[in-house]
Amino acid sequence: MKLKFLLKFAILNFWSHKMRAILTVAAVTIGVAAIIFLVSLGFGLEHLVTQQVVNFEAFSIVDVPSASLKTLGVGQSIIDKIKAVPHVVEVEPAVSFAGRFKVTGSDNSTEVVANAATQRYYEFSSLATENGAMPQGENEVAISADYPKLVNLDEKSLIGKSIDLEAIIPQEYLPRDEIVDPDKKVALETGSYKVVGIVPSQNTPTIIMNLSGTKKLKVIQYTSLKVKSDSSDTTVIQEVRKGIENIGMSTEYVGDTIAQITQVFSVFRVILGLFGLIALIVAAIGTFNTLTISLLERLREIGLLKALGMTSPNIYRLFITESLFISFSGGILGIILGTGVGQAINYVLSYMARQAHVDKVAIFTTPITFGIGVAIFSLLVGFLTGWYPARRAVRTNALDALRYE
Amino acid sequence: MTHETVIKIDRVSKEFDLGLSKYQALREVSVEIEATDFAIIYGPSGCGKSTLLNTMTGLEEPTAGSVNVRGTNLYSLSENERSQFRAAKFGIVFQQPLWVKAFDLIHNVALPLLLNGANEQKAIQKAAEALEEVDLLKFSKHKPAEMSGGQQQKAGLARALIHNPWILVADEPTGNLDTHSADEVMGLLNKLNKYHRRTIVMVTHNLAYLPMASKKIAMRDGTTAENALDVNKLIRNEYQTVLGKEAK
Repeated sequence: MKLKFLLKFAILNFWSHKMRAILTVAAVTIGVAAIIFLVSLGFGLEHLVTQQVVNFEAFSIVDVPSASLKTLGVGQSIIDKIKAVPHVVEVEPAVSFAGRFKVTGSDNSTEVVANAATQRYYEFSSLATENGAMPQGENEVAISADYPKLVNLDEKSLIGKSIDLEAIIPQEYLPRDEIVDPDKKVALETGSYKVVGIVPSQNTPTIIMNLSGTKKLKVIQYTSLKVKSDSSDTTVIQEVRKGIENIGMSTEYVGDTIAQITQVFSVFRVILGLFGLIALIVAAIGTFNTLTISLLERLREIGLLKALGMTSPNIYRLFITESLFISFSGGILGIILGTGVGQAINYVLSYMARQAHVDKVAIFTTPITFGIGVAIFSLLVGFLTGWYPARRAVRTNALDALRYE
Repeated sequence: MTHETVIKIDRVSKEFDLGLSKYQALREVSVEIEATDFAIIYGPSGCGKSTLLNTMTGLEEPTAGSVNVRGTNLYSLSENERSQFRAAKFGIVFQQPLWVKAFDLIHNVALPLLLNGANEQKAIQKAAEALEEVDLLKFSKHKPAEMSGGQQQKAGLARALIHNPWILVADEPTGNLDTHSADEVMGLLNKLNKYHRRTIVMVTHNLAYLPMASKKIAMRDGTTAENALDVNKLIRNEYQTVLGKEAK
């Protein structure tokens, strides 16, 4: 029997009871749509969180945190050693310290965290201003939005103003000849800067300055480094981390955080997928029931087909094809429905976000591989539900079937 | 081909296991059917006519004995090989018209060819020719159930012959028909045998068709009866019993 005729036979058989056919396919569609919808929510939320955590470039960057640097007193020599590690293409330093600042001419000062780093370091950190520009020269700073909020000022009104910064610098950040009193742990250094931009909230008032801006504060040591590798491949990153750790540094990698997030969301997705699976199991039982009833209704037909010479493998294929047809059409419709509803919700949320002047939101993401996986899975369900009726049809004696009333 | 033996049934027995007891449906039946034969198997109810016919087509495996169709021992073949052999060499007409409900008449008639892997377009073309021969082409797009019993049986005959089989077997093909339709079907069978040289094996209750047969196989209690007159008498008694019940 030709495959084309087998398909036509199966589809015509199935379609001969239209209402039953529609309801059975609808059940599978809802089951598959439930899985797609719920798991896409899991993927979407994970994507949303990871997007907030990193940009794409971050996967090729290894962080060398401040804790170990402080103890070692990292300067240019350490940077040079790290630069010599295979696959390292850039090493960008940063230094953080506390301080107090006031707008020039004002009486009120505010406690602040100051971060000084190279332009590339800020790019690696995806730090950008929401108003104005990032500091370029040694006299420029950006202030986090926390400060204008704290003092109830318009962000833009700060841009162009001068500030006086009194920095509390740990002595190990300074050159030896600058240490006047070795018993004191910190030195107070001052400097004046011009505010050129406002960066998004850092949770506490923060001053962002170019690394060159620390010259007037006499800082020569760094509290953290960002090391860029020539590849984001896991093996290469591992080699880079090992090379840095061999120098005596500890390392952190954003991939670790992402892996943890992914792990948490994997569990979340499985739980959501299980809820959807319940609907699909109910649909599979419905399909099984439909096929079994259809088998009993068509027992005499099976007897006829066997008497006319239809072989057992062809009888088996006929029933399996019918079952696969139900599950595949239900699966495809379910994928379209599940994805469509998710995208519709994304559209509504994005519309609301636009109205509220915030970034658009997509909480449903359906990776294409997941869609393909679900389509294959629905075929597998079709095969399983069709297997028993198909086997029973094959085992039915032709003469018994012909006599069946 | 005139005296060629097409079917050779050699000491075939069939015993059915009924659980608590066993039923001997056929007892060492031996029959030979030649290529030009219009063989009619007849006998009273329960004599084993249909069992013999089913054994002949490979649908009912005998407990003992052999069935050879032009030199092929049917029961030495696997079940699938037997199905394929039946599909190619036999045309079957059933007592009650049986159809695939999802198909229209023309696809149903084309079914033996389609099951054999024929090209659908060619199969449909042949089915149209077969339906034309039995004057049913106008019903080709209808569902068979929409036709009368006689028309369905004629269409069944077209289906049985579409793949040009060696042997046409018919199990009481007129059993459910009115006299006019039954005569039409019998006329077609007779024509097929006389003018198209088709081998026909038919099971019937109706003694009126016996004159058409070139070979009469009378059966009684699971075996071929030596005294055909006894068999005729038994069948007539059966008719009278049925008619008596209907009269009451």
